[in-house]
Amino acid sequence: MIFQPAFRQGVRDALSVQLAITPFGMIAGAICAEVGLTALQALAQSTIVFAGAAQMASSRMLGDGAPVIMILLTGLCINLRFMMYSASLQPWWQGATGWQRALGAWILSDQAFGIAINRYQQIDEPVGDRVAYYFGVGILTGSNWLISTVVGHWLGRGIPPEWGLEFMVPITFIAIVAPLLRGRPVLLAAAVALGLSIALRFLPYNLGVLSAGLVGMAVGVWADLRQEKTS
Amino acid sequence: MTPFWAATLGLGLLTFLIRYSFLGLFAGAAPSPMAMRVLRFVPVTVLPAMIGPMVLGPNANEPDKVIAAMVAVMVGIWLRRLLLTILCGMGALLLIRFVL
Repeated sequence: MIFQPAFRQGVRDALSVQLAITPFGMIAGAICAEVGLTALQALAQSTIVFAGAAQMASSRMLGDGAPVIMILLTGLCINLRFMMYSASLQPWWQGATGWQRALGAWILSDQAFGIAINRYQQIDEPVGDRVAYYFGVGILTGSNWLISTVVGHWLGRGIPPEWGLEFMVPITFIAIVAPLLRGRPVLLAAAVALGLSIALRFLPYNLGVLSAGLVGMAVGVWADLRQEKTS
Repeated sequence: MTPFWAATLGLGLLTFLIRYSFLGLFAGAAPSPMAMRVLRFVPVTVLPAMIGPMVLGPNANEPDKVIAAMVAVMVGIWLRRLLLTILCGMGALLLIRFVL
């Protein structure tokens, strides 16, 4: 697979995004150090969970002594977006083998999904090339992710806070979500979720994020159904 | 088992199942139109719900972050380029902090 031109094309197309993955991974590692996790635990977390936002929430909540069940609920909510990516990739992956699906699922990320789906919509190619391209993007991004977390753990508090490196996290989320903001139901849902999350930000255990997300989703689906009925 | 391993292994399994759902578990069945409708609203609500508290913080006394986030939102909506949006947002924050 790694000798296929599509794989190498995937690696090339994912190069520029690594500028954003590296600091993101470093922050995830630095947070692990901050809450007293070892470098090995940081690496295990990045390998097993492989999802930055959920990892950071998990580390912070472990540091606060939150119950494990609340950590799992928060992670479920944060990572539910991968189910949409999984469903969107499905038609393009007809004919992929079992291990490709399993490995592909493990390394599914916002970036791997975004870059791959962009290519699939523009270029018609055999499923083997589609999968190889995806792995080109995903393996580069994934290796960088693991290395960056360990480096971030090692640097730990050596990174000056005034550089605002932690601000990379919300900025990256903005960059991921902004291109999706099209149509009135989507805009309404996003606005409700954002407003509620700000109003409820003092609730413990990320309950504000959980409820803001759920209410936003319900409002969005309701507005979408209503729009469909009237149009 | 320590809380760290319980959380990490639990999250790992949960996250894998979410990602594997339509690629593997239900590989033969296309998501229903209603499921797809609901799923479409997941990223556009969950991500903003996480962004809000991160930008505003508990005290809401960091206007530099709010301004930088608004710059990123505008660039992101208009130009739809991931890396450019991140660079503009971070650039705005550093500009406000170190230059202005």
